[in-house]
Amino acid sequence: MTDPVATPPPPETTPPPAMNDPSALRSFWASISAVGAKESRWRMRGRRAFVVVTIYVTLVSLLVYAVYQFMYDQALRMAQFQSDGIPVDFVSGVVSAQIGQAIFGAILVLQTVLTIMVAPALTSGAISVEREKQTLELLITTPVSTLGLVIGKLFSSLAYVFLLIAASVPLMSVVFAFGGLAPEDLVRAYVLLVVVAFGIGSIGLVMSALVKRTQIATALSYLVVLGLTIGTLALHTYWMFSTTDQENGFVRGLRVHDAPEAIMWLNPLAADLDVVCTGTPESYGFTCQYIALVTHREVVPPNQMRDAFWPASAASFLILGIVLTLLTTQLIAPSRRIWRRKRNRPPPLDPASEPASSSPVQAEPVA
Amino acid sequence: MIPSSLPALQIQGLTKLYGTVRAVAGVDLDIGAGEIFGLVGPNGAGKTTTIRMLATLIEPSAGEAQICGLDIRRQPNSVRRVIGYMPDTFGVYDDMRVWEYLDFFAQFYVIPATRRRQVVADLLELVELTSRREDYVQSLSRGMQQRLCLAHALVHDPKVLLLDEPASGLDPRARAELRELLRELSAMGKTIVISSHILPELEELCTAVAIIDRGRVLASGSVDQIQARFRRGSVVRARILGGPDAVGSAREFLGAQPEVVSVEILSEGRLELALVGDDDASAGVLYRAMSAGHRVVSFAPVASDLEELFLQITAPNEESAA
Repeated sequence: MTDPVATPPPPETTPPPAMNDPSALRSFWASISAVGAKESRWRMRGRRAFVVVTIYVTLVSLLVYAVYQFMYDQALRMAQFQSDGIPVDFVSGVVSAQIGQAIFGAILVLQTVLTIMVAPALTSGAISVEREKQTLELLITTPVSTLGLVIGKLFSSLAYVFLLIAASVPLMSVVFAFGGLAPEDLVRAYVLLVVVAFGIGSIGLVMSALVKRTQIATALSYLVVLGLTIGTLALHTYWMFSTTDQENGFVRGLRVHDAPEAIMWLNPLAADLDVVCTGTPESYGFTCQYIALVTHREVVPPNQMRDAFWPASAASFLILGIVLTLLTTQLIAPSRRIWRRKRNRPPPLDPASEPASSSPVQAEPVA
Repeated sequence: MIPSSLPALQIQGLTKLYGTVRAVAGVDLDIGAGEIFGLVGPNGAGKTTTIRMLATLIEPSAGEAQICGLDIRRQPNSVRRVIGYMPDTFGVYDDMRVWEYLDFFAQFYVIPATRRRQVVADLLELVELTSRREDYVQSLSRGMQQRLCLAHALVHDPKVLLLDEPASGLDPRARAELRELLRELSAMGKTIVISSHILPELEELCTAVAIIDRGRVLASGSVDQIQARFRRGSVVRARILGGPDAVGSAREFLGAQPEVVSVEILSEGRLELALVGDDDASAGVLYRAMSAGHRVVSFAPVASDLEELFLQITAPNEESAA
């Protein structure tokens, strides 16, 4: 242990240099690694994490099998119908591609729903639990990088979501056996899933810093997620229909282009539809029609509609995540805010109400 | 450790307002390097708020404070590297082993992994928790958790320790162990600021104390200095040998002394005297009693004296209360 150093007080204008401060970047990485390791250890210790992953993979496998069986049976019936009732026991390559695309869409939507259900639950306790357990003060009085702490918390909480997403990759790869999708379609899907997890996770994180109690933070996070999914859909739909042209009380036509596309940017399910549409443009099915409606485009079969909506949506989730993460760093501790309040001048002393005057002992100047 | 003349903490006019309430109303203190400094005052006096401002947890509304020359407002991150802070109430992480707990905090100070192992081992030995290294933190007793929390505040070898009511909730044995540990840390050269609402608890430990009430420092200095400055009298218990007659005669004699305000017979030859004046006055009374042939076998101030002094200093003025 070292001897105490008593540095003479510095002049008012030149504060002394920081004492052996490591660089901000090293401190930032050290904070991420410390918090990340601790949180991951906590989440992964014991059997629970592995049991959940196993159950999840089993459920996704069952979904894949159900979609496959449903699509295959339907195709066989169609082929039998087209061959005048002669039984067939194979389907064409086109049908095989359609099965692959259906599995792709089903897994993507399932993963998205899972992400928006699980991410807020995992992140909405990240800061409030530290407050409830009275451990936040211990952290804040260390030179921890607040941004490192928040990022460490966010990504270690989301690590579990990412683990579930990663566990689905082998099952998602089944679609290549059926054809109809290119590897970049899967890349699109996973990029979208990761940014959605980041954006939605950061909603839970900011609530956790804003509200003291975890339960309330979780409830508020789900309320926001509900708003982003059902709320935006309802608003967008209402907007479209409220701008319907009417003539003598009769609907003359829909002016759908009046509903701004941006309303739906933070709706992860709408982005899913565009990723599916991008992967299967030749089908011009429901997914492409809905995206055409949202993005005000014409759906004409020769014009393939690719990447019409989801990049804007992914960028929105990314920006949302960054903004909310930075906001969380400012909410976590008032004394660590970048823009701290200007110093308050204390109100003038009121001798009548001053505690010192009511004491029998005079305040002593310290020797 | 002889306190250095240069202050490790300089506090000037430190103030904290919550709305119009002054939790801390202009505290001025200089605390020398190597001192064990006690902040003592009743609940709500502003001790915790003062320590939290020094620990950079909350911002002062006004005033300045420097710790090892570093300004708590302008250089909070540098201040965090020279202080170790232990709050009055703290929690522990679930599912974390004792060594992991210390290692976790050590990482924030960017201590390399190899050195961290040594630091953790040394600290566990210092707080006598080496045998509990692999245990989960939540399985430790309150006293052990308190020592572990103190160890967490030491991972970066800070120069100043800010301890808010570290002995609260501890049994007498754990208190004694903590006191011993703090003396050891003081011998290592640490400046320790410790708060308590019980003055006698700090009496033996601290080299100096400040008595705080309603956000203000009412008195400061060593406990002896404060006693000498403020004591207006004392309560002494004496034991007289002999039968009831001897005790009655001693009571009569003592009651006639000018310094003695009152005398009461307790039991078995014991008397309780209320005296005015300082130790010289007490010595004078004892000398005269012995010279007059009274067989006094013990003559000592009662333990509650210091507490009474504390109550006397922090007592609200009846006039202002009305």
